Amino acid sequence: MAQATDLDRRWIFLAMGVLVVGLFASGVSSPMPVSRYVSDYYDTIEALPEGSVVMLSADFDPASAAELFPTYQATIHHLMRRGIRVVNVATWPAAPPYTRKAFDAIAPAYGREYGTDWVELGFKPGDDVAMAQIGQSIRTTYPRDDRDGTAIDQLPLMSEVGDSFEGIELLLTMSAGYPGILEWIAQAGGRYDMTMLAATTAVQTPDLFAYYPTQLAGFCGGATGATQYLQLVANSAGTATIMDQAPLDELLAVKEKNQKRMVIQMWGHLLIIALIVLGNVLYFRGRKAVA
Amino acid sequence: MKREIPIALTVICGLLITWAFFSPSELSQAVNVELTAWASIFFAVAFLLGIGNLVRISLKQISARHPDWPYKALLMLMLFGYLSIGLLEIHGVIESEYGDKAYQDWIYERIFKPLQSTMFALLAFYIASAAFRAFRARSMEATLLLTAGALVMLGQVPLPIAPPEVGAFFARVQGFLMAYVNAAGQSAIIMGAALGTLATGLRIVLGLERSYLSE
Amino acid sequence: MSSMLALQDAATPFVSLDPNGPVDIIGAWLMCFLTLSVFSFLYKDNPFYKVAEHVFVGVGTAYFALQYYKEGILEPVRDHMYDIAEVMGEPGASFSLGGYDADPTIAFILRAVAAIFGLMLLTRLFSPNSWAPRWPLAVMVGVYSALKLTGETQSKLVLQTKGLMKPLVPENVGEVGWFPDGVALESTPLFLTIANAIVVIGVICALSHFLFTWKRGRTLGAVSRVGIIVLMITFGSMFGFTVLGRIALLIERVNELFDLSEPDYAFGTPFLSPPVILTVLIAGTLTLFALQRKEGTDS
Repeated sequence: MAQATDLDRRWIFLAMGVLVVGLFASGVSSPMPVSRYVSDYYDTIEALPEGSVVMLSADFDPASAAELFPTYQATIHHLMRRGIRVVNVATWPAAPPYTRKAFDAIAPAYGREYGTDWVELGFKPGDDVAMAQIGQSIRTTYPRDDRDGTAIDQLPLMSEVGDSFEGIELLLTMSAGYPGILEWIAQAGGRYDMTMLAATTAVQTPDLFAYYPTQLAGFCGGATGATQYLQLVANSAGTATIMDQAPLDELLAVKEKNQKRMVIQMWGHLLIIALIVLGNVLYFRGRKAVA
Repeated sequence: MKREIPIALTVICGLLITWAFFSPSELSQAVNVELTAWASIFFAVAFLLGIGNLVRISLKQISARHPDWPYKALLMLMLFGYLSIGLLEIHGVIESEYGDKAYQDWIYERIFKPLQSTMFALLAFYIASAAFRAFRARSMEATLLLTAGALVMLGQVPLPIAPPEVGAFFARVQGFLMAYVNAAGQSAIIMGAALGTLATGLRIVLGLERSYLSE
Repeated sequence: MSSMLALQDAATPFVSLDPNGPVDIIGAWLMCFLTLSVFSFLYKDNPFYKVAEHVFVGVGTAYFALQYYKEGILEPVRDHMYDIAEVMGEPGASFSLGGYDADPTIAFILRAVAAIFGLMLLTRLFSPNSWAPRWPLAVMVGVYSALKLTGETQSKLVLQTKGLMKPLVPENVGEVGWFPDGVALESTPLFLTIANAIVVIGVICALSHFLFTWKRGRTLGAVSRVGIIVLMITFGSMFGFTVLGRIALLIERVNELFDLSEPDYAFGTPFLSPPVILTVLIAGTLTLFALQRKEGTDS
């Protein structure tokens, strides 16, 4: 009697590969209903008065960008559209290139300027220690910006930001793991009573339900949360006064792409469930035969 | 003295940081700012220390003509090549019209990004293989785990192949499991781990835990 | 090379450092080669994968090192000390440390001590058992533990417990529906009363499973059994989300390969694209190797 484990695992690899590549070529997409915690993420940003300052921490790298970068782009669109100003930091060394690229592509389209509407302070090593440092004194932690080494006091936006998150209304993180949202909550949420929002990888998402809504105002979890949030931002994009249509078109394309990805994701999940069922059926039949 | 001074340093630094947590005084905050800056610097130096070890091991394998030595030579070439370009850019020796990190960013975008993301994408295949070969519903607990996993998987995606009621059903079941049962389990795990952190942290700050100084 | 340049679209350069422009042609081929080389590991460990793996370790380590060097050493040591030195000579000058006006000389000395401690940490490279690296290590451990101790006790114990003080008769029932647009069972007060009770009882039961102080009798055993059920559903949820994350990464890689199949990168044709050509080349080479090895074994 053949055991389930006898099957060369490369057949399973092949099935997964063919499924994803085949479905990508087919291009079916589907919209998604929006979960409460994603609409809370959206509404919290929406409720900020125009001109507020938020801190956006990029705590991810290329390995998690597939899940987080779409939310990052949509969040920047949302903030820029609403005229909310952004102090960018990072506790992951591989994140700053994403910040530069995304802001340079999106912010100018809404008429926003570097230094006044957003600043890039860059990466700081030390994980929890870096977060504590940023909270205690942003000036001592970042005496210069990461873009061209301008002294922080020469950036108009930074004149409104003080130590202990003074002047910052909200802390958002694109969190891929450690260090990420859980450490930000520990070092900033409770200590400085900051309102927190997070976009997280799917792996980290289950943890967040224990913090929501008391310590975390809302979150976008994994590809699902990203797609739901993209839909919300794309739906309200028409209200913006925009100087360059290209970034907005790209946002709509990213939304479409994510809706398409979710259908592939569905088939991937069905394949995994089918494999679990098949593996168990073969295993129990094999055991019965031996008995 | 080999152990006493480090223990004293740990206790003093730990107590100063704890003091700053409870005291809003400017002096305590200044001490806090300086000490966290120190820790951040040492963190960075410790990473460079790790590179020293990587280089030492790789050079040893190259000189011993280990079967993989050509790959180790490639590793060294990439490491020192990128380091050199980066250092030249950081110190302003080379520049590009596209900014002070253009060369580093090119390598990051074209080499590091696809490699790191693909390394992690491989896991999709291994989780599929594990689903078939390892996940057995041998007990009530395992069956519960797999059933919850399947329900969450179905509730997290749109189900255009099924009637809308079916999709809504899975979304609701998944929502309930995540927001109530999973939240309870996560809370318990988090609180348990926090108790552990509290106990270990207190032992370190009070100088009772010394294993980090062992040889 | 010249024919390649002539065939490509004018908008896509052969090599370009522009971070906001389209991927250059050489970059596209390189990205495809590295991506497919990593995927070739699914067949088995092979030289293509080994090359990709070692390039990854080399480039990744160098990238991280540069970031740590610039942001963790140059900025807080060299630049910071330079900033202090600038005001040091001025009479009555002070240097702000997190809002506290410190004497610049003291601030300078403090950071110089940090620099010396940093060098002491580096001596571990040459003499692993020396006393010197232990001092900076001790500072790191002290600072890190105290931050964890205070911050996590607050967020993971105090505020977590506070979050569990859930009302049995919920207010604002209308706003608590799972999907904001849906009218569902979730919006009824009875449902929320039961759901909130499940959370609180679930936490108590799951915590009791970690209780090893007392011998597990019938009552504690039963409570802990419920705890196991809660924990198993939690682990199942985590497994479900892990699948979601892993497949998302794979889809993104496939997406990029499709993006790099555009005619711009394929000599203006729809089929001579980098992913197709490189897949054929890598698969062909591996098949040849496998056949050669088989012949060798047979003979």
